[in-house]
Amino acid sequence: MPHEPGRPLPPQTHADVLHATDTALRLVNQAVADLGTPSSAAGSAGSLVASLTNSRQLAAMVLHANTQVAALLERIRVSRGLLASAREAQLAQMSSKFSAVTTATESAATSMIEGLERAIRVVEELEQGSAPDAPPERKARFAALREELFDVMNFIQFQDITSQQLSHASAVIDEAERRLADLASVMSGPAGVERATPATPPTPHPHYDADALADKAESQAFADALFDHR
Amino acid sequence: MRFLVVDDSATMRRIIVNSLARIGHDDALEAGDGAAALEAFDQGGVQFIITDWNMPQMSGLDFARRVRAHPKGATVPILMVTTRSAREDILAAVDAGVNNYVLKPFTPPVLKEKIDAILTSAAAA
Repeated sequence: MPHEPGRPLPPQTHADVLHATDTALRLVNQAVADLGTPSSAAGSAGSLVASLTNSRQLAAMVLHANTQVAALLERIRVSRGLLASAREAQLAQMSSKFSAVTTATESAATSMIEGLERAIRVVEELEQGSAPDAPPERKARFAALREELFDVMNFIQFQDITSQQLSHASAVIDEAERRLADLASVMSGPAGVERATPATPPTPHPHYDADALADKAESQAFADALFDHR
Repeated sequence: MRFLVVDDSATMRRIIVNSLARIGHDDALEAGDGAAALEAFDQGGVQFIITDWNMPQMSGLDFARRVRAHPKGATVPILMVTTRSAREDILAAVDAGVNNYVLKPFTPPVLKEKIDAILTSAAAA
């Protein structure tokens, strides 16, 4: 049954398409092999009956091969529809969702930092407003609270680090989308046939680090050794 | 001492500026990309640059090279603060004229240690 572009197929259809395509290719292959096999009748030169029989067989084979090629082309068209629907419906959405997550977390991180800055100011005001003869323990507690707030602020670096990982994942998806678009374009046939929408070209200089979450201790030690001796 | 903090992440710029204040440096300009940073640097007064590597349009590495090629940028200290931890990246930073290298996530004491090391080295030169 022909597939309407844009409409997702049930999961088993993918396997069906592959199986049918495989079967069609095997039949075409067999038909081509049969054409190349000399029959005993063909070896009898001058036999009109044998020639006519061969001609009829050849015509039947060509017809059969034509049917199989048509079926194969239909399967390719269905596959192309599946590729286009996967590319448009899922990959593009996933990439934009990653981008939305990054924007949302950056906004949240900024709000957290602003809150912490306000909290630090309050601590400093309380510290300055406390009695000059306040016990040292009280001053120490203000200092400890301020340090804790600064430390929490410092942990918000995770936002930048994880957003780089998301950018990397997004770039991988964009690349997959681009390749699927290329594949769909190839399957669309020669010029004049509808071409697939060109996907975003790959970024020549990605501004993210794919290994942003890697363990850094060894690398920092390497950098320290390098720069300390300069 | 006037710092120029260059990072495309507003979150990171804010964290670095707060970390600088925490270690006694409260004069810092911010730039969200290499072009804006070059413009700020060109206006003069910047005595120390802290830059990220991974930025759109112009990477921190290219920015460092541009600063070094600038008439006023031959000796200004540049500290790279980045997630890029591959050895070839660190070596590339050396080649670009970066004075020291800190991997994210960092702590204010580490930032202070690197800034002090650069300033000590510059004073001795």
